[in-house]
Amino acid sequence: MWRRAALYIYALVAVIYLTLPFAWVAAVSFMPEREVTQQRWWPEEPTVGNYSLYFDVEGRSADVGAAIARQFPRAIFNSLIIGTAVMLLNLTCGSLAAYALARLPFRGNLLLLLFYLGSRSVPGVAIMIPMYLLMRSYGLLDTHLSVILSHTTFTLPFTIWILKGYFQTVPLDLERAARVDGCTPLGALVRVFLPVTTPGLVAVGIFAFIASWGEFLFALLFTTTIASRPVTVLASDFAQELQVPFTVIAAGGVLVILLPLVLSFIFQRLIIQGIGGSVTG
Amino acid sequence: MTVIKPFHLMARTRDVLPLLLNLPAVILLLAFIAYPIGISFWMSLHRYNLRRPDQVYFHGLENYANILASSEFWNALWISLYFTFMAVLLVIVIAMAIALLLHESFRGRGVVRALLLIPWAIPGVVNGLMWVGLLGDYGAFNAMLEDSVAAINYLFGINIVYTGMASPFVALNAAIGAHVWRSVPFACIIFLAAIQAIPTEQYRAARVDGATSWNRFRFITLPWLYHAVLVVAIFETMNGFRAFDLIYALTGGGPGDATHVIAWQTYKEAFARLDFGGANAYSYLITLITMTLAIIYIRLLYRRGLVQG
Repeated sequence: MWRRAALYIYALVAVIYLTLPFAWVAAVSFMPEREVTQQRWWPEEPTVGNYSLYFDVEGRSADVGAAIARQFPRAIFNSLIIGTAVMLLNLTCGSLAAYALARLPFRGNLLLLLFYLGSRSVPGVAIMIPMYLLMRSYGLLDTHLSVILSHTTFTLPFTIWILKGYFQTVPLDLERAARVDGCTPLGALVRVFLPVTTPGLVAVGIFAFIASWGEFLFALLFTTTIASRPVTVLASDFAQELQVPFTVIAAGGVLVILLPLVLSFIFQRLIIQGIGGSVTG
Repeated sequence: MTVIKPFHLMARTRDVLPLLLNLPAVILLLAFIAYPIGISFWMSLHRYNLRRPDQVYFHGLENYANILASSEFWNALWISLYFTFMAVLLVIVIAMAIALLLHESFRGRGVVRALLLIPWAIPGVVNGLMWVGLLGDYGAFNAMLEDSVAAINYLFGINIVYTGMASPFVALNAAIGAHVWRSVPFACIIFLAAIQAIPTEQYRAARVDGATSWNRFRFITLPWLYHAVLVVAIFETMNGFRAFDLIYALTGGGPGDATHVIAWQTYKEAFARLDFGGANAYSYLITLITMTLAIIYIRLLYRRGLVQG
């Protein structure tokens, strides 16, 4: 009985730790400006005024922070394009490489694996200047493509690592059967292998998408106008503007977080199993 | 039964297909990681300041010598080491505590598990902005900290002046706290998977032998988790040294130079001073440090025979 009670108190503490910071910000995003200064936990008179700044561009153009807020829908669109492209590139390049590493014994596979692990351990700041110069010389600054390419290279080693682990858990008999039926290796990959491994593919795809959505350094360096700026960079503009009320920033924060949050809720089980299983397996 | 050889390909072409399959990934990583790293090293050996673009010339290891002689570098290095050490330690402890909880069966476990991913889904910059609010003058956490400092002052009859994020000590540790909060879920997922892989017979046997729950944790759970702890330690060490977006949004390196972690220092060197030569030398030093740490960890994994080569 006491053990049970202790367990629930323990669980409650964990839930508070995991949710309280975000819950407060979400609550603030519904507060009128004056309530924040009273250090409240819950809006007394809830309002959607902080959100309307982001959508009612015409009506509220005089408000502080409106110049940043009006660019939000476009920035979300940019993040969507970049994230989706990063996800697709990860899945195609990643599954091909991981399939070879997991299934086809070949000379140099250990070397390749070390190459992938090594590139994963390179910190972003270490290559930011050459990357910037590279993108500049190809005329890719302020395009989606520059951000897509940099995000893909950062997520790809992890994707390959996870997928390799995941692919190795698929029973060999499956491909034997496919091959006996006359499939080529690529045919076996596409027709038998990929359908069975869909959960793992979804997990790494979502993982890459969320990583790209949240990446900041390269997005900050490569994008200069709203033509390509993703939401993280736009949100950081608030850090420079001192007069913007925190209620408005909070609403913006919630808007940025919304999509990754919903995705992580929907694919929660797949992410936890997919990532956990292959890292430790 | 005859063993069917892997695919009816001739010996010479057998190696070609896997390499072809790896080609797209390898090209991407060569072009956007390996090549920039090479350029970065080459540039670090040059005097290259964007303010004087006409004066680019080779001067060997001088950038490195200048950095190693500057107090800014050592300050940034110590801050990063402290930041990373505390972050790794706290992430492991907190993530382990939550993973052990999620391994128990109780009503509402599914809810806790779903909430686990919240901090992870929040981008680093937004996380920084969030904690600006939480720890700012009107922030909910700031109020709690103020109250607890007042309580400590009252209880011990001392007089600590609490200045919030204007205090270097509070700012640095708040940044660590915010960084840890966002890093816990990933570590927790790895621990949870590792805990669930422990054979339950061992626990049953231990219980028959009358082992206490602490001893069961100490002698069964912990040894089984050694591998997972090292994996998390590697990930978190790298993340700690990379911490940039959070610092950018939360403290901007301040107050003073209290939160000048090494990634921030590199960024400043490059884009505030426009000293590309010096900044590249900085980034090379970071890469060397993280790689050295990674090699130490990986050797530890090898020694335990947990990685097969």
